[in-house]
Amino acid sequence: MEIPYTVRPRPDTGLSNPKLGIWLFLASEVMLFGGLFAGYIFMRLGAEPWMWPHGWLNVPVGTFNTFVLIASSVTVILSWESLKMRKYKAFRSWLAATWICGFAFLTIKLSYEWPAKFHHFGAYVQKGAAHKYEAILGNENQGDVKGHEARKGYPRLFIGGHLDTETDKFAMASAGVPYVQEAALDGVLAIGKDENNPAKLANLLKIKDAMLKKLVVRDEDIAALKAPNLDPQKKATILHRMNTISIHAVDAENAKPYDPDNDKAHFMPRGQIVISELGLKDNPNVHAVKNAETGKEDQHFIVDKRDLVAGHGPLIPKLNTYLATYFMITGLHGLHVLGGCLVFIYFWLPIKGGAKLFHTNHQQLCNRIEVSGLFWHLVDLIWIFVFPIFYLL
Amino acid sequence: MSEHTATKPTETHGHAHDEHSHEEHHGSMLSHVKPYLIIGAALFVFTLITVGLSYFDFAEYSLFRKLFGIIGVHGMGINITVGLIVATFKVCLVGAWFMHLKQEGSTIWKPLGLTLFFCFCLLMLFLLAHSDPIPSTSFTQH
Amino acid sequence: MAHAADHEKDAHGHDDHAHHDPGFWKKWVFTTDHKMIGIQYAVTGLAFLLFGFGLMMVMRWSIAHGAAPLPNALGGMLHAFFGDDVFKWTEVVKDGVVTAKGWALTQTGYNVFGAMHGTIMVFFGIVPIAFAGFGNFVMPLQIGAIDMAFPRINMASFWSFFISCIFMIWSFFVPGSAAQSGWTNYPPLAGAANMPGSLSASGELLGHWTNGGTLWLLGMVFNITSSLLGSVNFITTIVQLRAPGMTWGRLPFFCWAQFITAYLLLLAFPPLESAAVMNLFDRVFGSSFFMPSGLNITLIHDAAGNVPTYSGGGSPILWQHLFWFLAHPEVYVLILPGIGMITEIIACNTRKPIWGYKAMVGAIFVLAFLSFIVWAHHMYMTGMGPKVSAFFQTTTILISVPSVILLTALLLSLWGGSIRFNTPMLFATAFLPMFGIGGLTGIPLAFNAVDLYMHDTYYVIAHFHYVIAPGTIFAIFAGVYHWYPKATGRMMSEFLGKLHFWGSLIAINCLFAPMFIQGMAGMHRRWYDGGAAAYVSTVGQNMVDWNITISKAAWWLGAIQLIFVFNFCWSMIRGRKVPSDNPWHATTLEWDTPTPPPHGNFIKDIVVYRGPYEYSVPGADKDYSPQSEPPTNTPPPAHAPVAAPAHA
Repeated sequence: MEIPYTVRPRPDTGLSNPKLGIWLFLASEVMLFGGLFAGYIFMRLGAEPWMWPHGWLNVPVGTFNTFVLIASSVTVILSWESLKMRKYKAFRSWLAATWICGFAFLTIKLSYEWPAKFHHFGAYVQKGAAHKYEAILGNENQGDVKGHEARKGYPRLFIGGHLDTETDKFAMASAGVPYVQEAALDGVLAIGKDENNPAKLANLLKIKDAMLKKLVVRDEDIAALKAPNLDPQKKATILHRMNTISIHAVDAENAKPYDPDNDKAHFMPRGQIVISELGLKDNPNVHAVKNAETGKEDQHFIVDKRDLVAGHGPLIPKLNTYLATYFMITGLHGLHVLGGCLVFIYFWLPIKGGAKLFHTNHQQLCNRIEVSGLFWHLVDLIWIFVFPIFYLL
Repeated sequence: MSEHTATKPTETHGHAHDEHSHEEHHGSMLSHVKPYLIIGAALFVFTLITVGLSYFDFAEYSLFRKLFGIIGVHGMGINITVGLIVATFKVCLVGAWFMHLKQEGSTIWKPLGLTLFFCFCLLMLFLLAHSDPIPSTSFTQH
Repeated sequence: MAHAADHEKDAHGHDDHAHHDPGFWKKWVFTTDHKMIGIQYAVTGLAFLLFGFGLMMVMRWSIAHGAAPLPNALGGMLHAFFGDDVFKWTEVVKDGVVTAKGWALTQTGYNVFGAMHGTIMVFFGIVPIAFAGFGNFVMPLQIGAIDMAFPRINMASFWSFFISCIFMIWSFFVPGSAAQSGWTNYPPLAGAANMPGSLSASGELLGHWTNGGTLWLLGMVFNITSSLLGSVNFITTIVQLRAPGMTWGRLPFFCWAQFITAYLLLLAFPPLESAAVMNLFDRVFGSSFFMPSGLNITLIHDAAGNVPTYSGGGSPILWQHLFWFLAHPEVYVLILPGIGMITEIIACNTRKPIWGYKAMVGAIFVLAFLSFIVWAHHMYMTGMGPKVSAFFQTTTILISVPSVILLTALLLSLWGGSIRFNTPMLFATAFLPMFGIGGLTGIPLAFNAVDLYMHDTYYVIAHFHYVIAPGTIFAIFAGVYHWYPKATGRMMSEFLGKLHFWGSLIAINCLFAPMFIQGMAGMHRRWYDGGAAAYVSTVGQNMVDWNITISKAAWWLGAIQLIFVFNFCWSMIRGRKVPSDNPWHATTLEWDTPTPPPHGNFIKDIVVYRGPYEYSVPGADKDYSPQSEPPTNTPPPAHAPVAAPAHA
């Protein structure tokens, strides 16, 4: 029993089943990404004017990745053409080129682009507290670039930079924790105090540990806080450390806050400068910190978590809606790339459903490559929109 | 399906025919793939153009400010509009040649047209929230 | 020719096939046969329908008796099953005397049951039965296909659905219980409910992934994936696998309805999938897609007393848009397969052609198109201005035109027929006025000014339940009674069927009709004690009293369904054997198969010569002319896509 038109087209529709099927699937994919892009537009227009970040992604790397994906779209077509001309070797080589390109794309994305965000610190200062950080925000003397007059009246509020994660591996995790009130900390420390039932106590202590790990992050602080005779002075020091962020180096736009180029979204200067080089010694937020390993004195810029909008920390979806949409859309797109690569590898391998079909059912293999190629082109097509809206505009 | 794979309905399975078609196409690989290579090259070039244009600040020049002011696009919006126009053009190239939409019949086009229409509706969702809000309930209020 | 060859091969291949025993697992569980997958869907769906109805019956106790404890045995059982989050030991004290004690539904429990009742009924009950179940079983038979176009994708679709079922059921048993924010899952409340890191009623920590809200979203993602796979399969099958001679104009209306429904699912579901992914990001990665700036939900806090913090900048309205972009077409996903089934049953049991077949097909096309551009009428309360709401009021009113065409055509089809009032026909005829009531009471809600008052009252509940419960679910019952003989080879009991019908009809009207009155008085749908404690002064004691009548009707309705369950199971073993392959003397192709249809469906080559509803054709020797019956004096159709084997 065989289902008709799995390989040959039905005469009156001119289509084979898989071809119609894949186009319908692509239609649903268009609607899926339509919904995601609708979300992007909503987020971007819903953000306060001029608050949408620019220059956070590496344009040359992104451009290279675009080239890789376009090249793979060409190679899959070449593979299909070679297959139709019964050139087995050329077909397999081009197909291999396609999935290698796909994996190259993913590798660049996952080994460089995404991790770069996770190691980078970012925070938004609350409007009312902006004056405290004037030295690195530079709102008083906002540049006046022709054509961007609308920018006036919208203060810069973003602080970006690096924390000293070399000597304090918990720095980034701690920076992501919201401000903790002393009463809230006491509440957690008191969990299980009056519980006598051992089973319930065990559960409560488990909860207590989980909460402390989330709030306090640093192991030695947790141990100190749980110690029976907690010195109030020590507790205050720990609380202060929990509730401030100590920035080791700032992004160039924070380093040169009065540069008019900062108002031009596409000309964001890149790179980072350590605080000591900024000459901010007299600034009340700058503290000398002794590096435990080198013994040298560094300058750190101290930010009070109370002055920040919730969500500060590494550049992850929690920080702002730009990153949320970026990770979601590139993540889902990446999953599609991965899926496409796996399918191509399946057809490339000399197995029954793959390249062996060349000899047993040539037309079916042609259809398989065509259909998966159509999906691959859609993946490429989505990236053509993703690239400008996140990297460039 | 492109003209290359469309099989006549009267054809049956069999190697005799396939061998024949193999000889028919033999040696003409380059002429077959030439359009694809051209489109691929065009996509590379337009990618570079998009990147280049993004570093060009349209809003700094009064000509573009006036031109795009007519359709109500200002400041950064000019760059965004230009970038999206180039992207749409690239997408059309991919769709028409790589995905063979040029040669597809109405069984593909009808649902696809509907899809594009509904997708457009989705992308215009923001208008519903933006164009006609009751004061103090608008989602732009922070 | 390829097609002819395939068919010839089937005809021979079939017998060979029957000798191969595919084995228990391949035949009953991991099957690729469309009929078995249809039955799997339908049975899972019926089980969920019963479960979802059960949740509602417990809620009705709370509403009728002012959140009083349940009867002891039942309460204890439910508490053992659902846990501390949902049921609490309660003692009602009046004048210092304990008047009642037992397990009562908590406020959280009411929210859980309400949210899950909606979700289960819509996404796990009706769609799997009406679209996937009946569609899988009946549609390929009706178009003369041997199976679906992609049998393995069909199986993947069912198992994806099965995984989503597991997520939904599992979510009842994690700390904090299942999702609580309604089947619409509106943020920002949905982002704060079932909050990871907070404590459940029994003092357990809610997991980061394993909490009701997150599991609900994961379940929905799998459910949507299943629908997408299914709809791709349905459309391809209808376009590609129609038998020779089965032109579009000869397609039974049920297949048209399935075709359109599949398109609705294909294009409307993905936006909800993207919204579900965004919502997952909000819950799991702490992003703010749907969380506005300045949000401070002080009532919700984790174990340390911290309220959830969000960077903000998102928009709850975005969720509503994306949700209703799906959920309005979803309304037609619920009703169109029902109308399709009703059409088949009415044509068969009136013994005359459907009146206005072409108009009906045109109407569902228009209906489907319009259903994509009416969604914001669910959102009048979001601060929508007059311009946008005027657009959506207009399209909403426009959509009543095709709906009325459908209803009118079906009503006129009854005219002059020699009607057989068997059980399926009773359900089908009852469907018409019930669906009419549901549809007409929706018209006032289309208007902004009325909706602002009626929003979230029992009027809305009554309106859409009239469309779906005595509408679609009656259609499902009609379909089960109608196609049961084809699936099992035995008839269901007519006596029990009629008992089930009359009981259901009376109970369901006693259940929903008073809700119109309550709703117009302002009774709100989310009062867990039925308005007894705090709001009795706003709606009046007489309105609160209706709750008891309604709840009693609901329990009666539940009891009456046991007749159906019994009839369904008993008839499988003891039911009367079908007198022939075509017990109803129907015209469509599914009755041309052996009973029950074997793997591969048809044992002869199917060629279609005539339209789907040729009943009582003048001059014919019997009162029905099956689609595959060659006309006596006319040559075979010239416009068949592929010539029939006999003539090749």
